Amino acid sequence: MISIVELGIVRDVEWRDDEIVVTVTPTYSGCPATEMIATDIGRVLATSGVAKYRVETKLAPAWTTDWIAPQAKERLARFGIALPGTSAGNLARVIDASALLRRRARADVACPRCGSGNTRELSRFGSTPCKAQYRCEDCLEPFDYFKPH
Amino acid sequence: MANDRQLFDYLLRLGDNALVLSQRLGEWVGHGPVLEEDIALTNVGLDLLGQARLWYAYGGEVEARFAGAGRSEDALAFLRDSGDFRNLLIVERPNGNYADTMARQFYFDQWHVRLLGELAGSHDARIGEIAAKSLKEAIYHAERSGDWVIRLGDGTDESHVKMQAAIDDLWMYTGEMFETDETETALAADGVGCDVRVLAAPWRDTVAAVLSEATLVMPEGGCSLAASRACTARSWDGCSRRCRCCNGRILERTGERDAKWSRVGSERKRRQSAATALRDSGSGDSSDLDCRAWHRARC
Repeated sequence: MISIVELGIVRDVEWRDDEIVVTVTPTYSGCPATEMIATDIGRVLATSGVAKYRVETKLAPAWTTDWIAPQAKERLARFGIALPGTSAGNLARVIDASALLRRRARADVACPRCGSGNTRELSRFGSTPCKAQYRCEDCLEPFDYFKPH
Repeated sequence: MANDRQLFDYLLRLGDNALVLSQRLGEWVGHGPVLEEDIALTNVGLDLLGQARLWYAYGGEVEARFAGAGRSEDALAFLRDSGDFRNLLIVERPNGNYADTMARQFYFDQWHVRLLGELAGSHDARIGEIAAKSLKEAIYHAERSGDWVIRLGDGTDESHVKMQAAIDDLWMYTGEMFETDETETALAADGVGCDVRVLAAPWRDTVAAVLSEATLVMPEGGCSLAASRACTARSWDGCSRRCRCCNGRILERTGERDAKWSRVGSERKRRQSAATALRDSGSGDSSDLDCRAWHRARC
């Protein structure tokens, strides 16, 4: 199991007077899990005896896969989800046409099951907004890859 | 110095572009050519919907500053008349075939990343935050749509023809992306908004490079605002996309196309002012009148 703290979504938890304020940063602006995460935070706080709480959304700095804790990355890999080393998204890459033109450009993604680097992107989007679909050309298993973000 | 009304209007433009394109992409649900593409398009739509919510939420707060009460995200998204929407016309264009959808996305994404890149440095901290967040998503979209233009353009004979047709057909809507007005220039002068005219040259450079790689021909004519304003031709037939005088396809005639660009921009303004005037005068059904204003602008 990976917690929302390990995913880097929870940025801060603090008391303000008699109220506890949990600050969260969404992975993607349209992430449909955002509201469920807020509900879950309330449920956990309630079972811990906290009556007054508030969940605040903080956009800046924007969430990045760099914030996923190292131990969480290992567990995600064991579950079959590959992760980027460091986030690679930057405007220069799009503004620089030559980078955009690298057809079938692919990140160096290792298969989380067999470790092979011989993998192929099936789709730039996967089962959730934060993941892409890949397949290992050696063990032939498809797997999810956290989009470098 | 821009006022809150102008800021509100500007936020609606940003939100409307994202919302309308998101809804168009949502129409692909269950109709994508393959499952992965179906998922991908709707994920792009989902990102845009999230961005629209952020712009509307801020817009509602700004509205409260000058109107006493601000509307909610839902009220701004669902309870405005069509004439009150400020989106670019290109995002409204129907999905068509996959090449049409990708050409629309490609033109928009290339513009969007640059706009958000500029807005990320906005003196309005909230705009800067939303833009920086959205920029990461937009970059990913731009990489994907550019990749598809190349794959379809430099693909089979059929995909090449369809991609070229889509690139040609949507070209006329790109001029509007670089048109500015008082609201925008006032906000740009404050360092809050972006004067979109500065985006034209870099946009054109990348589009040209991608189309060249895709073995596609870049439509003729620049995105020159001056050229479109200078042209007074009025022979455009919006329904058949042909010139009424010579019956030639409009895209082959630079002067006609420039005229269309100019009309596309003013058409939106006419639609809005006609709807507002009629609503204020309290006569008639506004949706019906929107329609008439639209046709008047076209014919």
